[in-house]
Amino acid sequence: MSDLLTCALRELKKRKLRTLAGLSGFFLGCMLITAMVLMLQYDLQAKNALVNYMGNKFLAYAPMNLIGAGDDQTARPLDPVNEGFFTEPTVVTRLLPANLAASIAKIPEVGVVTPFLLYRFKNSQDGHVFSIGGIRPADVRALQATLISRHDIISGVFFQQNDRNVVIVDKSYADMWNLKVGSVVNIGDTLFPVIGIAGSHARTARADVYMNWPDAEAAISRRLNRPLNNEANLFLIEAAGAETVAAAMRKVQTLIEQGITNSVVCSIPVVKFMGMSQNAVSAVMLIVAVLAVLFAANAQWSAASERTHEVAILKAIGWRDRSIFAQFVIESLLISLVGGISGAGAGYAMFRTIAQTLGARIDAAYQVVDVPTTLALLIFATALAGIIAGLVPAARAAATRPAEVLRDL
Amino acid sequence: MSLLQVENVAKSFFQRGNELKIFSDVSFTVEPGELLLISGRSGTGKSTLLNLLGGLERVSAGRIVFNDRVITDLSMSELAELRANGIGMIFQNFNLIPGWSALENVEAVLMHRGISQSERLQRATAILTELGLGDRLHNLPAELSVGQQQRVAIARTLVNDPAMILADEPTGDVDPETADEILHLLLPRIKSGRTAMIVASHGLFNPALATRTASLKDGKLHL
Ligand SMILES: Nc1ncnc2c1ncn2[C@@H]1O[C@H](COP(=O)(O)OP(=O)(O)OP(=O)(O)O)[C@@H](O)[C@H]1O
Ligand SMILES: [Mg+2]
Repeated sequence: MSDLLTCALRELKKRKLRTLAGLSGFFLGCMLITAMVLMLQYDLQAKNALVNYMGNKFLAYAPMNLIGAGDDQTARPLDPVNEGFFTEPTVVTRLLPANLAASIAKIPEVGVVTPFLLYRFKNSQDGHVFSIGGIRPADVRALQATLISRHDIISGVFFQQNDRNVVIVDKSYADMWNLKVGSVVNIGDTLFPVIGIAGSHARTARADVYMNWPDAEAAISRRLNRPLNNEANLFLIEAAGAETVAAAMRKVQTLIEQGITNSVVCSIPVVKFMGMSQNAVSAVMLIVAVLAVLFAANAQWSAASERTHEVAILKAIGWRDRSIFAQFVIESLLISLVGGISGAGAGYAMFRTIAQTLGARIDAAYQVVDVPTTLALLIFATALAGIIAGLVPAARAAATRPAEVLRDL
Repeated sequence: MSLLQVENVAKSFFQRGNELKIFSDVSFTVEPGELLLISGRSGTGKSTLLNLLGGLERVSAGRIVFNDRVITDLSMSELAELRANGIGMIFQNFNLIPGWSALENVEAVLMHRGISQSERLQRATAILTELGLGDRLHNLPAELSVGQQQRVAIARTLVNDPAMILADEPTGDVDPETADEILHLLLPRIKSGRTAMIVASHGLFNPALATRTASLKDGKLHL
């Protein structure tokens, strides 16, 4: 082994130009790939963090077709102008079986799901409209991910499962009407004491007043003149991951007749573009890697042809085929290793420079990108490429027939 | 047992399906301390015969036994091993590696065989110094005279203390005095019985130095 190294180093020193050419090939290849990988990783991690926080949640519902046939006439509110199953000021939804949640939960791309009853009331005293949301406190995870949990309570308490005839009020609504814990809210001429105020933050859906499911059902059915039979008008869903949102949304839609899925942030485009840039950069890296190996293999090949005479002599004085083979592979490995190490270092510097120039928070990058592991992997990959590039030329050199080469002089 | 036994060896080359017979039924033996001169005109197959003995080419027929080993049955890597240990070859045109210094050319023989670098360098330096090249160790072949290059080639062969030296036209390109000088470096080793030597030459080699002569002619070896 030490003989191989001695000889390889000697050879590389003697052929400075060729060595330099090989080195710079591996250096450039490794530098570009390193910088790209680091940037891609940083970018991906940052986007993933963002999308995982916001963009993997969505809601599903079926819009009411006010003119069309087939709509549920029985679920018509008494005051359809002001009241109803509004999700947005202009969108009214249909009631769906709440146990659809079980089918939705079976979709692999779906993480958690909970049904939601969102209904707009008109206050009988001053005429202002507000929304109530019926929730199932048992769906702790889904509620926490998409709507409300005890962590959102800024004063008072969250629902117990068996709490009845109490409400939690959203902070913005509470501020507007000067509601505190202990105040009462008039919903359909029934008074409900406030047990908690929930802080507002970006959510999949929101209501002004939250109620336990049976209370919401009772309050709404009084305004419909029809009992609610375990029905919901919204499903709040968190996908299993940021990458699976699109698939999850598509599959949920197929479960709901004329269904619509919506997300609060435009996670779909984000995820799609993320995938695209990821694939594009991966493709570019693959091309760069293949080109680098081909380039190196070509360089090693011509080095081997240049040295047939020398190889023939070495074989004639007793070097075995495997020594010759190992010699060529080691030389290629050395070049790629040195090129890889310096290239990875340069690529890292390039990444830092670019990140700083673009004003990215480099210290944040360190938290999401495991730089040492990435660099080690890339150096390893470059060395591997060097070995692969050296194999064919080495085999060719080892197969040199000394008698034939030496007589051709 | 003789050091070398050549039994009914024949060699043909095949070129585009045509058989080119070089020689056949070549048989002879060589003992330690012998210097066998094989003469013959250009193209009669002297180099080819030496290549067979050194295991660089395969025989078409017959058997070669060296030091009780049937070398015609050995694998390529066993033959390489044999060249590294028992058989030294001096080529018609020296075949030094142009980019390597005299010292490196000689040291190369000892590489990949578990010999430490310091011992390799020490042995190579010793033999080069013995052959009068002590002040030319780090010169490239091109920086040496033809006679000096030839001495490097001889040093490369002797550094291993081979039991048999195969020399192809060892004095071909140098003036008679230089040729004599070179031979006098080799002869003591042969005379002492440490080694045997087979020299192939088309006439420039002084037959008086040989203990035996043979000639290749019309595809046969005449002893
Ligand atoms: N690999 C080969 N393929 C085809 N023909 C070959 C091969 N090697 C040698 N020959 C032929 O074998 C014959 C003998 O060649 P060789 O080199 O052994 O002659 P030689 O006696 O050493 O000649 P010289 O005195 O000129 O060195 C030549 O005709 C040559 O063309
Ligand atoms: Mg010849």
